Amino acid sequence: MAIIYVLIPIAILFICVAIGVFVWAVKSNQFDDLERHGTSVLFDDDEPDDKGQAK
Amino acid sequence: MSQGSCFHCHEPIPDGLELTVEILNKPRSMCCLGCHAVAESIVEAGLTDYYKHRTDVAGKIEGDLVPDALKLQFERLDMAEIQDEFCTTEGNSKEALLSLDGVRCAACAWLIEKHLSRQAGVVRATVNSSTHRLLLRWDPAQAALSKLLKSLAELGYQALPYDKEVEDKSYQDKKQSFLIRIGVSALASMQVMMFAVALYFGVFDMEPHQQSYLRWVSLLMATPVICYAAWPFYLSAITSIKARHPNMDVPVSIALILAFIASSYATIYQTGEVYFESISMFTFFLLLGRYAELVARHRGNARSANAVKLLPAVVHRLTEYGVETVPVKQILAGQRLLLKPGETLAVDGVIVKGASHVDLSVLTGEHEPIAKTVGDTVFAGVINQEQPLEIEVTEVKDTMVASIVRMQEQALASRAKPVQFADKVARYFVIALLIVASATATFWYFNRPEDALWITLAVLVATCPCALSLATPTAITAGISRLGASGVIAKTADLLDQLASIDRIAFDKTGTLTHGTLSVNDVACYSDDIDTQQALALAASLEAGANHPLADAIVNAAAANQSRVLVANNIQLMSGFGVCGEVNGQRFYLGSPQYIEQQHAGAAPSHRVLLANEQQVLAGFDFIDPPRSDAAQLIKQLQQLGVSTAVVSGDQQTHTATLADKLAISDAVGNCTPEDKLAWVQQKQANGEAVLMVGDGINDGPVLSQANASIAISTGTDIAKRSADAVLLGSKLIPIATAIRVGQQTKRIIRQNLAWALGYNLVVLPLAVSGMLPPYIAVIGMSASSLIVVVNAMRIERLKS
Repeated sequence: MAIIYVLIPIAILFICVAIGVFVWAVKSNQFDDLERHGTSVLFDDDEPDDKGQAK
Repeated sequence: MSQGSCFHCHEPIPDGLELTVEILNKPRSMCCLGCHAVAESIVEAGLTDYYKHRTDVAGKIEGDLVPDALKLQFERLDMAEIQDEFCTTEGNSKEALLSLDGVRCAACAWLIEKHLSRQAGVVRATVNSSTHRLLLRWDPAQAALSKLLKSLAELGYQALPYDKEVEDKSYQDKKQSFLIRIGVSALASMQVMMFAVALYFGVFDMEPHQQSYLRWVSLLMATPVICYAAWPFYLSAITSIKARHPNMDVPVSIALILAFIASSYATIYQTGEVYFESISMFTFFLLLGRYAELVARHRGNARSANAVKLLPAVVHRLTEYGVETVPVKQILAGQRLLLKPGETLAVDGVIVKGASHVDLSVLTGEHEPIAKTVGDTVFAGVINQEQPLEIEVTEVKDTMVASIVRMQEQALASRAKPVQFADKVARYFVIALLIVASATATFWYFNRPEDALWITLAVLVATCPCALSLATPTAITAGISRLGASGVIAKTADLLDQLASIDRIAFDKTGTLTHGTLSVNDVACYSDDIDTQQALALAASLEAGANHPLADAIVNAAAANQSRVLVANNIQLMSGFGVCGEVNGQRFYLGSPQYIEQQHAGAAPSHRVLLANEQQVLAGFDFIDPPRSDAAQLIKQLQQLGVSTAVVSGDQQTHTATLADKLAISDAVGNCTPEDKLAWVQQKQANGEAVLMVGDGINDGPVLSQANASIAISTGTDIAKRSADAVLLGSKLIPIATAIRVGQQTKRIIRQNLAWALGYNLVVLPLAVSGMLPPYIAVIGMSASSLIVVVNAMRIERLKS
């Protein structure tokens, strides 16, 4: 079980990185609007113009 | 999509109307020209994805998409000195934060961004769909702001500058700090929990140095949670102790700090138990609850803050050299202003020249225009309907509207908040717990000094008011989010508690139970030469150019009756009385009975508006403000809930009573001034009734504050929304009944939770005090009781409407 003396510090390092990334994400306002960006993938960038309607 | 409802807004389609737009390869019916125009522009722009992905229906577009008054307001926003107030300039482009009206779901946000980014001159447009704000960056050289706003209005969204200073900044900071604390405590707790599993289950075949190692890393991970993430609880605890009202954060803080110190002690001296995982998880759950509460509360405020309609920022000043347009800031009392028809007054003043009808709805909530003439006082926020007025300014800053807002804020701040039951219980519990813990410590110190600290800690941990402190907030958070889902945005957490104990609901009439717009109810013909259709046609011809609710109602009724509207010549308007003009060479008069009596000596039949020719009275028109479609259903549901109802209105007693009869409302009080309304509610309260007030006007402001609980209609005035405890979104009234049921359910659940938490604590206390409770059982008991409380609270969210 001596391996835990190596693995746990590595895990803690990962946690520190994760916290760092999370703090960065919060500070860059990525949590401001959770509804909006969840759905943005549904929308096509350009609607195929099959009806020949004027844009 | 049902057959009879509009594809765009899902409102029912009026009989006989055939308007269709081809959307997603099928013709779709529309309920009105407004929706039709919006849907067409969405299709033309190739943005039909909006209809595919939206999760809420669009708002109904009534009347003009871009009314003239709005156009004027937009154009003013192009003035450089006005833009300086809300824009930041960077290089060639300007940036402004705008509030949006009409955003319902994420698809709206997409639609707006897409539409704007296609306009020439737009650099960037970002919409936040939860706060309904639009951050717009554009190049003023290529596009005027007014043009962009107009194109947005054509899609059915109204955008106006928003003052970002208001409260956003502090909320953003608070929210971010909460999120970071939650993230830290969540990630650290996960680690500590893993170590705890190893410690509990591997404890027997683990070598002491490994056990000690795991404890040390647990200590390391728990330290940021206790020293950073839990910080808000310590602050709140200290504040509450200073105010001599210890709240639940006191025991929370004591438990956290003591358990942490004791566990650290155990780690350092390698004796006893550690509770790092429990305190980390405890912190995490508490933070989550607080965060949800913060977001829910802010959302309510943000939506009502969005509705703040800007008073005009420029006025027309009359000087000896003529009329000049200047910002309001430069206006002084005593100066004269010109208020053109359709404009909103920005200051308080006295009319010195001219006579006109003004719309006082911003103050009263009643849209019916009121005649004002020389010598009358007019307040900021009134809209001039007909003739130009010359106004002498009496007050620029401390206007009527501003002072009402201030009074409201004072009233709100001073309103004694009912001390919550849970807080009270927890307070006594805290004191009792501290006494018991110190007694336990003393007793064991003299009997088994080596175990004294651990038994005392077992008492503190096992009976830690964790479940107790979660019992109320989780239920309230779930209740508030359930309310939000049904369209009632709560502004205070107290609302649910008060809703549960409501005995009576009082409604304002105009704009609350009704839509606040008039329609022709009855046409009585007094001559054989004329029928209803002709009477309406004649009246509509005379009123075609007029702009007030009665005229609109007549014109609409004529259109609905398919009457042929003729051209009227030589129209003379007697403001406040009536109108006369020539149709087909014959002279007709239309107006109030007094006006007609002046034309024909003798009594006129009693109707709201009469139509006459030169010889006799031809027809009379009566008007009605129809109740909202679901008003009757709401009253029925309320009666089933055992809540009595009343309507309290500033309108005439007869009108009020008629409406009350129609809807089966038990009490009707008409002719009420704001003071009367206030007195009525106070009297009911003196009789021991808890009153819920539903209103929309500024005149409802005081009574909304006075009532035990209050709900404002979202289309109502800002004052009403500020003073109410909740804002009702949308045009349906039924959510009010749902809200009461949610309130009752929440109260039930809070009682169950408190009973459970208290019961658990009382059972476990003697065990812990006698030193019989192994520490891990204490921890499991504490966690399980908290979990039960949280799961129980989540049942509220599943309540059906």
